[in-house]
Amino acid sequence: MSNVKIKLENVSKIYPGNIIAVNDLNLDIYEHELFVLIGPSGCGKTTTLKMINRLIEPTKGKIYIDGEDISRINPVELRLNIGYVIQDVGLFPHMTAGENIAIVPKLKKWPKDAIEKRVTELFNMIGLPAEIFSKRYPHELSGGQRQRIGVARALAADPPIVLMDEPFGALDPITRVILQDEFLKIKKIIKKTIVFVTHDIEEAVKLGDRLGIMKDGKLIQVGTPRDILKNPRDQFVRSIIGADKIYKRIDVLKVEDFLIKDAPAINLKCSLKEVEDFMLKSNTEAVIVIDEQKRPIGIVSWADIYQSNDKKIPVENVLKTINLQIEMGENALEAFKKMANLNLPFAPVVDDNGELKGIITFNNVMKILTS
Amino acid sequence: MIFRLIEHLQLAFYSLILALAVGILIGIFISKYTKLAIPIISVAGILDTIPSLAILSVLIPLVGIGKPPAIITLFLYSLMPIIRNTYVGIREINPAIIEAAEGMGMTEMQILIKVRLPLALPVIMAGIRTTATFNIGITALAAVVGAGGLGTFIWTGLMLMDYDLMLIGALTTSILAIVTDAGLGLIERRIKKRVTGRGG
Repeated sequence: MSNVKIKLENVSKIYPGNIIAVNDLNLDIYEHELFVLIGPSGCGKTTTLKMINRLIEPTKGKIYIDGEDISRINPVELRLNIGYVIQDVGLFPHMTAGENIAIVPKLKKWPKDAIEKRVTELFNMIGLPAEIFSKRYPHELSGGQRQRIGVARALAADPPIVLMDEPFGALDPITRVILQDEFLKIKKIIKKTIVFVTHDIEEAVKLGDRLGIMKDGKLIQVGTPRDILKNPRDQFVRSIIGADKIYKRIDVLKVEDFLIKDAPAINLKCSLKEVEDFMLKSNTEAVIVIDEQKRPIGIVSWADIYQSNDKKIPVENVLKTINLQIEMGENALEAFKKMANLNLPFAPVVDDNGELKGIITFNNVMKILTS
Repeated sequence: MIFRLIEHLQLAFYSLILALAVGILIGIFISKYTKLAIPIISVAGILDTIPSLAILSVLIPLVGIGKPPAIITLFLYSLMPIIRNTYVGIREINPAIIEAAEGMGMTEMQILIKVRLPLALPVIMAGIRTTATFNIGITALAAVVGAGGLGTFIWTGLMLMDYDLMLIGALTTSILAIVTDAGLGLIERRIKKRVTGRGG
């Protein structure tokens, strides 16, 4: 992810009457990432997007793709190698879905059989059977189907870059979610550099590898969804991400965001007496039992200790094994789901070596989300 | 009779084809340079308000009698609906479609031929239908300047007070106009259905 694919250098777009749409923008977009430009309407996000395929020419500054100044590339040539999806889809109503998908390969003069093969491939990818849909006209398709065709059309000639301008914006909420999920899957397969414009923070967080938050033609903050949600730079960013509603975005946080590091842990060879003392001292209801390699083996609670009258036996004889280990870097929501399924109040978190790093509990979820 | 019918159709359709060639080009031109649209459509509109007999008479000293003044008159009459419908047809295309076409890397010319014109075709076709039907009517007048056609029967009949002859001329002209209108209407609806999925 370190190769800069698209570079914007001091880019400004000023319209007659000194209307500044984009103001001295600097941005590196890396290869194979999905970069989301997000902001309120009129913030310059679409203008920025359209400068990348030269539908709009910057007033000042330079844009580079693979290090090449795009103002030196013929705009038609440039666009043939950049996929483009817009909110209104813009399917040609006088062409069938198949013909629509085939437009760019045809413009690029691919051989006929190669085009046909590619079109079928794309129909499969977007989950619409080619034999049914390739001969249909856009007016015979639902909004969601049209937008899928729009995405397929943009990907048809396998361009390294795809620009998407609120592609799911005009769809109803349910269709939108379905298409977003499908698109996430497609995104993993296709390995493209995608610049995505939206005003929907949920969508941005869900799809984006990195976000750029824009206001009045300027980038206010750039970072991963997680960085931005955790550390919004200012009040504007807070308002965009809806900081007061952060609980909705547990899905982008990771296990380490909820990690309690000083989890009580005790070696499996310790006697019950030692465990009892330890638990009293640390005022805890249960402790994690670890082996010599610091790997969590199980848990022991007061009830387990009271099972035995012999306080000299090692704790490994009474412990309850844990069938769940959460690894660092896991998605927090997934981790909590696993805990809930097993009805566990907490779960040990381990690193790559299986070494105990701490625990997560349901108790501090709200504490962290509301802090 | 058949000869006059063919002559009539020739007059009406030669002028129409001429008007199509010029009118569509002007229509495309003003859809691109929109500042010229209103003046040009207005001028073409004024042409339409001048009585056809007046134009015919004015043209006689310039191009003589016979078919030339008739074809020129019909051509001038046909221009306005074709220019206007081409212009409207192109301007009415959803801008998102044009944006998508540009964004995909189509050249100006490719967009015109593969997108704009096919999508404007139903509206242009409506213009053609109006014009063709109208032309058939006006062509009947052109017999006055010796252009021939079915109008010949009407004028001859008028001069000879031969009502049968007049009626033959009038009826055949009317039937021709109605058939043309219906036929072109059918084509228009087919095109519209293909392009937009509606109409028909």
